[in-house]
Amino acid sequence: MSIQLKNIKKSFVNNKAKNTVLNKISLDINDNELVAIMGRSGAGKSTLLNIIGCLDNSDEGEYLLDGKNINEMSNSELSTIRNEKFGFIMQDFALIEDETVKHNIMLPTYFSKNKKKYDCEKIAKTLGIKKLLDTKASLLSGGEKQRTAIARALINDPKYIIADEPTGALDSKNAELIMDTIIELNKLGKTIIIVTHDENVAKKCQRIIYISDGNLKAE
Amino acid sequence: MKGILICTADLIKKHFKHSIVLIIQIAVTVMIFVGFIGKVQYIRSTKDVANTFNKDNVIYYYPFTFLDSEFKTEDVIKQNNLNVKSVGEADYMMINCDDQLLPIVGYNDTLLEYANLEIASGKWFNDSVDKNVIPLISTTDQYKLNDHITIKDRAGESHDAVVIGTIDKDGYVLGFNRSASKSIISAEFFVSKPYSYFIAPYNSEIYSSLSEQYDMFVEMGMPKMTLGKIITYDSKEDAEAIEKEFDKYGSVADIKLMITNYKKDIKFNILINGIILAVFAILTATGIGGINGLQSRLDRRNYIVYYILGMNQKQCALTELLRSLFVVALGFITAVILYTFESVRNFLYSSEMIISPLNFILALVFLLLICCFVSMKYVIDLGKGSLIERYKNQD
Repeated sequence: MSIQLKNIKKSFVNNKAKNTVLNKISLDINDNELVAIMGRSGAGKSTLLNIIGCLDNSDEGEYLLDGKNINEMSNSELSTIRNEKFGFIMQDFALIEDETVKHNIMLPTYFSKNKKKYDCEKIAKTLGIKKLLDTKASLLSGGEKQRTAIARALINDPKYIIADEPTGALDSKNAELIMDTIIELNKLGKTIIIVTHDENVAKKCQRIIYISDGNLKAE
Repeated sequence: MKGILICTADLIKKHFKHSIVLIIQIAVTVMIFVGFIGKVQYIRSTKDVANTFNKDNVIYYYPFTFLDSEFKTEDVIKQNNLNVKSVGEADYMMINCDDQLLPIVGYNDTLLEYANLEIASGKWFNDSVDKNVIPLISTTDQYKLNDHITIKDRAGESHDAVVIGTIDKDGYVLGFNRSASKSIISAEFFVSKPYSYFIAPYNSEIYSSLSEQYDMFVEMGMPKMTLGKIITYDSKEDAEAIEKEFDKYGSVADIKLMITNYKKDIKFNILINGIILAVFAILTATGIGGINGLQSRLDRRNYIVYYILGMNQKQCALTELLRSLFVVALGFITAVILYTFESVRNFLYSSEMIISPLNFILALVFLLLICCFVSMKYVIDLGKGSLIERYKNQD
């Protein structure tokens, strides 16, 4: 098992009131799985995704990533894990709008400690954005932006892809194209965790996890 | 490190126009800040000079400039049977030094005894001095400690002189070149910027022969410079008699009172300048910190993206610090370049300001403190709450 969450608890304090967002959640995700996390707004989906992606820590519980205890790692080690093991795809693409497509794709490599060669052009060609490499991100369409974000998520060849509403800002045609790309990536061996509201997106995943009021409801 | 440098460059490029405004603001701030510090330095420096003066039982007397050249202080003392302990005089001489006619101010023995100026290097006259050479204190950069100079007297005979001490070029001396009055009495009247190349003792025979060079100077049509004197006394009654008599021939004031008044002036000046400096510093910190903080806020989305992609918070902080430092450094360099232009210096700074590298260093330290404070605050803010939630809310 590559991702193991045991009794994960997370709370936030809002206006002096403690709000438990995740209440002792336990979850296992295997290698090469394509998992959808669904739930209403505020249910705790994004918080769970943040913890899985090492963007946030849990208050209680244990998180094992490839057998290593994430809770015991330093901030520096966590940033290395985010950089090397995870690729992130966000609903609003999270691109640096003033920079070119190529610069955006290459960004994770600048933080990487690996000295391997990165083939930006090959990834861009696969995703159909090779001609756009020198174009500013702000000039791209929604679909092109999301493909740039996917290229960026793949540049460091991570094991896991974290996708937070990856089709949320796209029209149905582009949404379908992006989902097809994600499924292709899964077929190539990537473990993918998607947070989505969209039943059609979730149906394309191998497993759907429902979360409500900080608890897992059903799988 | 590569990532930090690339991201810093990206952020500078992103806010190019903002950065230009900030650079100009920082340059102007540095120039003004340097001036304020210069004013405070000036006040402190003149205070130090006044403090070196032994002020007990001393009267400052500045003769009327229209007095006959034959007028002698000693004659007034003799004619009125005044009980005077000694008279301290400064004399302005033009002397042939290394075949150049240079201005020298001579202090007589009394003045040398009462004045003990702080020197930058070497020693003052009252320390042991080789009797075979003429000792000089240099007040410019042109002559350094232990420099040997050949002085020619009016008869053409050469004498050896040596620089035994130097006064900082931004320092102050007892100039005695302004008059005091009973209504406005302050030590400011006898403290001045050096207006000669050297200070020399002038009471010995050789100096008097040298001072004859002055006649030649007068022959050239230059007016004689009137300098003040000090008159020392033993009792209060003597002082009253001296003041009463010399009041007829010039302005007279008690040096102790002048120095007390001057210290009051200095305190007031430092207070006023200190308040202005503090207000200016707060306004500057708010202004620069505000613009810098605004840039940081605009960059928050970038930092969250960098964080997601593998930058840790320390690296985010370092990037933010480098970005701020780059702008501060450019602003500072712009100020230094502007300072090299004489017109800018003349426009911004007066002779009553001491401008030295220290002023620039203090201005830079002040800017760096603002820079570090803004960056630190930004990084603390960055660490609060869920980054992804904040990213989604575009906070």
